[in-house]
This record gives sequence, structure tokens and C-alpha cells, in this order.
Amino acid sequence: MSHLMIRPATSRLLRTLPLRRHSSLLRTNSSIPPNLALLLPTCKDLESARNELRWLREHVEKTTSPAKAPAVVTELCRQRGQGVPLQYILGTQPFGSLEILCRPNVLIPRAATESYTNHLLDLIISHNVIGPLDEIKESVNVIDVCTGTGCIPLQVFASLQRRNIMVDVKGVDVSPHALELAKDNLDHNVKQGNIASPREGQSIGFHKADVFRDDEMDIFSKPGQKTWHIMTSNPPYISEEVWSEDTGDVELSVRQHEPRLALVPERNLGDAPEGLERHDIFYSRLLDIAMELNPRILLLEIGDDAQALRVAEYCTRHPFCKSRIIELWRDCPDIKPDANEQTEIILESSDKDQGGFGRKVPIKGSGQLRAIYVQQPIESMDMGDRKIAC
Amino acid sequence: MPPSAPWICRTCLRALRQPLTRQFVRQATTAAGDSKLAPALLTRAQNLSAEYENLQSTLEKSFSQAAAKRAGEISSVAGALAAYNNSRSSIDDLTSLLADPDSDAELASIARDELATEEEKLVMLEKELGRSLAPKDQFDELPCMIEFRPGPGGTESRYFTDTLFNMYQSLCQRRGMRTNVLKYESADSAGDNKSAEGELPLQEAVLEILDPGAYGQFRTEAGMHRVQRVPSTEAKGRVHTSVAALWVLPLFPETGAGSSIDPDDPESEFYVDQSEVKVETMRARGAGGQHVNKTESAIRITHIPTGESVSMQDHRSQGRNRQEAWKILRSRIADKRREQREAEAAQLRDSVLTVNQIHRGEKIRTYNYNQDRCTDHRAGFDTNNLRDVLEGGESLDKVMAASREWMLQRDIEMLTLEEEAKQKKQQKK
Ligand SMILES: C[S@@+](CC[C@H](N)C(=O)[O-])C[C@H]1O[C@@H](n2cnc3c(N)ncnc32)[C@H](O)[C@@H]1O
Repeated sequence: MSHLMIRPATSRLLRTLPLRRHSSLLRTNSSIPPNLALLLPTCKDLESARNELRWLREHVEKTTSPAKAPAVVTELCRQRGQGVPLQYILGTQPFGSLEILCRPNVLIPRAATESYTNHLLDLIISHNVIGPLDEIKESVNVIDVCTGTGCIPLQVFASLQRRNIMVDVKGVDVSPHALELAKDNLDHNVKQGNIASPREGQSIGFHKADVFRDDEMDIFSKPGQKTWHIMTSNPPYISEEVWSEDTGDVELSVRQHEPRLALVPERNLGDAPEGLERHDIFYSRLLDIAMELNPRILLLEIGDDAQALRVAEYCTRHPFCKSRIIELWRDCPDIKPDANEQTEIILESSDKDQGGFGRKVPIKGSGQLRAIYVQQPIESMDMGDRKIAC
Repeated sequence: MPPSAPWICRTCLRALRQPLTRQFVRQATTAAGDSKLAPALLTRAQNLSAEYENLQSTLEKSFSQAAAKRAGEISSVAGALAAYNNSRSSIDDLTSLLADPDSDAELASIARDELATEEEKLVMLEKELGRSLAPKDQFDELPCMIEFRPGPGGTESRYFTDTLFNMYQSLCQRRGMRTNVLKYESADSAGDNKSAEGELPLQEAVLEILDPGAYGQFRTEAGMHRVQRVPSTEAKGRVHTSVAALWVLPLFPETGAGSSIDPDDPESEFYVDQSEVKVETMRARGAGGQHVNKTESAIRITHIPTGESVSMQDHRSQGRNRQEAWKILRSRIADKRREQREAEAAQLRDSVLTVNQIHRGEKIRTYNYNQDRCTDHRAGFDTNNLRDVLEGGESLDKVMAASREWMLQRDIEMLTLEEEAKQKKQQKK
């Protein structure tokens, strides 16, 4: 077959990559169609406004009569232009193989969360990080703390279920809105055919519990409780200062429309241990819970590079991480790092017992630091380039 | 037919003439030189058939996967050749029976009758044999994707590209084939710029056709499609000519299941090494994670050794965009490799091939609105119901069938030339 024409070598993406945020340029251009113009205050550039307009249109075409559609599209563009999150308008966000329902009062799943969840699943399924799956006697037991929409446990469930693996997944949250939505998300994805109704040996459930209350968390570590294979959490991690000061670190749309409970650790949770800041409080608590549950893998999302280093350093001193592998993952853990992205870091352990030795921690992927991964080494598994604790 | 005829049935006739005609067979074969099948092809068929028989006897002694596979591939040639030879020898027999001055008049009349039928049959069998020899495209059984791009000439060619896109989509719908729009990029997503015909100015689109065998059905659609019509924007009513280009690429099933080609197998010719692919995302500056709620999901992947690159931003999920981009990239690379292989085969026959050379980049089809006509230039095929063609109706089936038949004939011609070149080479040695 002949390639008759030269493919445009510079794709539109390529052309737009260096041209972000040219809103001043756009303001002077009066020929922009009105719907796009409505979106620009939020979307900032034409390319992403075009994409959002297409998604809004597709949504309206499915849900509204053709006669009313144009007016509805314009109204939705207006709302979006004023900063209402696209996912609250459309009601959904894709997450892995799922369609996650989104409603105000519950945090919208982020792309990075999707990336590391999929990467984790890839490690479990193709790299035996919890051992060969067919050698696991009971089921693969997973707990996701601070579950929100339930996106993480639902995707884990869907993915393992599809491979006919026995699996028991639990999602935990303190917010009734989140729990209700997580349950709705299970139903919705079963209806959509993305999840099959749980079969014998497969279960998924959502439970109300406050991470900071021993009495509510105890049920997960009761004596006789089976082994936990995986514990994940994307806890609130934004400091009150960053949240309330207008530094621009928190996007306006997030601050105005997403629930504070999901994003900012409350003041009354007490003081953080040495080496951590107040808004890192969830991590010390989650490590203590991990001590009780003793999962083979712990995966925690973190907010930025500084927090990642603080928490990773804290991990090296925490008994849970003793003789476990620690890794830092970037936004896209399965994309090759750029030339200027570090692939490992030496954490100065302030722990005197370690005799002042630093601990080398590998950094995976490309982007900003986004998660801390702690894994129990498995003797039989191929360790590859992964470094074991020294 | 004479009243006494019924007792002679055809099989009896055959039995009857057997001892009589044996001696003529050899001479008669040379006499039947009016075959349309090129001698080089016949030689090839005989060689393959001999190979088949060898394989069969090997397989009887001991089973081997490779031998069984090869035997399966060429069994249709052996079968077609046997049927063809059979028919040839019947014709020879009948001819010599008729040539015999002593044969019974009644018998001769039946023989004449049968000869006519047999000769008709031979034409069919010849075609069949040609078909069985025609190189089977190894991608034929795969699903496919069609890439649409407008040619130069602004909006009019973009509008027409959209018409082609809709044409194939409707065709698939009518045939009950599963499709999926991998990419649809209009110059105007707002839809404020539709043509009078309701077309959008399409810049690039990729349509995936998921049914196995779609590649075989659609591969002849690749090439330059030309439209001649008065654009809705043309005030003076002048006819414009513009073009759109189509690529038809093989699509690899996710796991390689259900197909003999497994692109995930590093041994496969179509394997793309992940580590040779660069993935780029829209890198957000500043804070990430929970701090922001970005909807940008664009991704670009580049195969470093070939420079082939695909960007994708159609879907809201970056993971999904990446999957789709990967699919397109893989198909393009496989296609490139195949082109390379074809070029090598072409070199072999180029010594012979001069007049018949296919010009690349030439238009394959014209859609003429004023004359209500669709012409396939390769097949020399015309049809009048343009509307039905553009709506993906049965008229389009006919045009496509004509192109496939053309392709088949061309493949057989190419094969003949290749065989002749090969056989000449051997003779020199
Ligand atoms: C950042 S959201 C994460 C949601 C979801 N896992 C995701 O990745 O999209 C944090 C979640 O933690 C919940 N949460 C906040 N404080 C909590 C607490 N003390 N105990 C349990 N859950 C809590 C919030 O309701 C919210 O749903």
C-alpha cells in the first residue's frame, strides 16, 4: 500500500506543546466561536477548549433532544467557563476500564491515581510482586483507605476479576457521600458491563470508618483476619495554608467545587511526629495501621516532591518499612524518565541505629513524585533492578 | 439426443473410452496449448503440488508441526491443480475420441456435448488455480483501521473526506460489522461550519473495523480518492476537483488471540519493542495531584527507530488515548515493514516489469457528482448510482468487489512475472 501523502510531521499536539497558556493571544482574536470563548476562562487554551466542547457536545447529544441541544451545550459551556469541574457536569470520569460517577461532595479521581493504580495492577499480575497469583490459597485481599468514589478498589476488583482471580476488596471512608457514591459506582459499572457481578470467591464492599479511630479500624485487623495483600490510600494531603492562601497552588475550580474534607487534613487530628509536617498527619497514621494489617504492599499517594521526601524519610525510620523495599513513583510510573529526571535518591536517615548510612530509594517513571510504594521482598521473585533495604 | 442414448451415462462413457485413449494422452497435452494459464504459473503449481505430496508422505511417517503447517498452506494449490489436470485430461480424451474416424456417431454427439461442458469447467478451474496460487496477504484475516486525510485544497477536500468517512461507516453498519472511531479531528469541533451537505471539515480520522477479515475486504480501498463536484461554497457553479487519501492498515488483536500473528511475540516480524517507544504527555507545570483537576489527556508516542509518531487526545482518559495511539503506531509500523518486503519482491520482477508498472500516488477512484457516477480507475469499473455508493449501499459493494477482483488479477500477473524471472535465473545457472 502506498503512502500517498506525507503525513503532517508536526502533529497538532506537537505544535501546541510549547504553546500553552496563550490566553492573551486568544482574547484579541474575535473569530473564536462563542461556545469556545465561553470555555476559555477555565480551559486557558484553544486546544483543550475544543476537546472539552467536543465532550460536552457528545454528552448533550446522548441526553437531550436535538431541538434543545444547542441551548443546553451553551449553558454547560457557561458553567464550565465559570469553573465547575467538567466531571461534575458530565457526571463521570473514565478510570482504567471503568466509568466512575462523579458528584459534588466527593473528590474527582485524578489521572495520576489512575496511572499508579494500573501500574500496581501490572506489577501484581505480570511481575508477581505478591507472589505467583495461582499460589495464593485464599483470595487476594485488598484494602483502600480514604476511598472516595471507590475508583481504586473498583479498578483493582475489575482487573483481577477479569483474570478469574479470587479477590476480596474493601473500601473505607468516613464520608457518607463518598460511601454512597462508591456503592453506586459498583452498581453503575456492573450495569455498564465493566464489572461482572461478584462470583463465588470474589467480593467487594465499602465500609464507614474514621482512619483515626482505633475502634472503627480494629475490625480490619481482628485476630483471625486473613492476610492483607495490598493496602492503598490517597488521603487528604494539602496543607491548610496552601488551601487558603491564594498562591495558585490549588486550582480555583478545585477549591470552589471539591470537598475540603477530601483534600485538607483537619486541624484537630493532632500533631505530626518529628520530621513530618501537620498536613502529613495521615501518613504516620496510615503507617501505624499498616503495622497492624501487615499488608505485603502499601501504596500511598503524596502531594508534591517535598512531601514525598519527608514521608519517604519517615518511612525509613518506621518499623513497618523495616526490611521492606521502598520506591518512589512519579506521575506516570511506567513512562521512561526524561534525561533530567533522577532515578534514585539517597535518603539521609536520621535514625541513629542505622549508623548514619543513607538509604538508596529508586524513583520510577516520569513526572512529579506522586506515590510511595512499600513492598515486602519475596525471595522467590526476580528482583530485577529493585533495591532491597540495606 | 437419439432415443437409444439413455443407457450411456457419463461415467460409463468415461469408462468406455479409458482403454481406447490412453495412448493419445501425451500428444494431446501439447495440443491443448490454448490455456490461459501462464506456463510459469503452471510450473509453480506443479512444484508446489510435488512439495505437498512429499510433505504428506513425510507426515505419514512422523508428525512435524512445521510440515503440517506448510502442507495446510499449499493443500489448496495441490487440490486445485489436481482438479485442473483432471479436467485437462478429460478434454484430451474427449478430443481424441472425436478425432477418431471410427467412433460411433451417437457416442461422438455425447462426447461433443460433454466437451463443451468440460471446457467451460476448465475455465473455472483455471481461475481457481490462479486464485490458489495468488499470494495470500498474511494480514487478510485481520481486522483493520482506515486512516482518512484530506488532500491539499482547503475546506472542500476536508468536506469530501468527511463524506468518505461516513460512507465507510454506513457500509459497515449495513453489513453488521463492528466499528469504532479511534480518532476524529475536525477543523471545527464547534460544528458551526458544516457544508450544505452536512459535512464537517475533517482533518484526520481513524476508523477501526473490528471484524476479522476486514483487512482483506478493505485493503483495496487504500489510495487517492477524487471528487468532482460543485462545492457548496462555489458561487459561480464551477466544478472543482479535490482529493482525499486513505490508508488501510492491519489491526492486531489485543492478545494475538484468534490469529496466527502475535505482535506481542518478540519473534514476530510485527513486534514493536516498548523500550524503543517514547511516550510524552502534556506535562503540567506547577502543582499536580489533588491540587488540580486537569482534563488534558493528550498523549504522543514515537517509535524512535522509524520516527513514526502518533498523537491522540480524543478520549478523556489518558490511558485510553495511550492504548489507541499504541494500536495505530503498531499498525503503521507493521505496514512499513510489509512495504519493505514488497519492495524486495518488486526488485526481483522489475527486470520484467516495465509497461505494466503501477504508478504510486495515482488516483484510484473518482466520485463525479454531476455525472452521478463512481469510477474505479484500476478496475475500469463504472457505476451510476452515486448516492447509493456514498450512502454505503450495495452499489459500493459492487465497486469494492470490482477493485478486489482487479487486485487479484494483478497479484496473479505479478506472481507470473516473478515466477518467470525466477525460472529464467535458474535456467541461466
Ligand atoms: C483525596 S480523597 C481520595 C478519594 C479516592 N481514593 C481517589 O483517589 O479519588 C480522600 C478521601 O478521604 C476521606 N477521608 C477524609 N478524612 C478521613 C478520615 N479521617 N477517615 C477516613 N476517610 C477520610 C475523604 O472523605 C475522601 O473521600
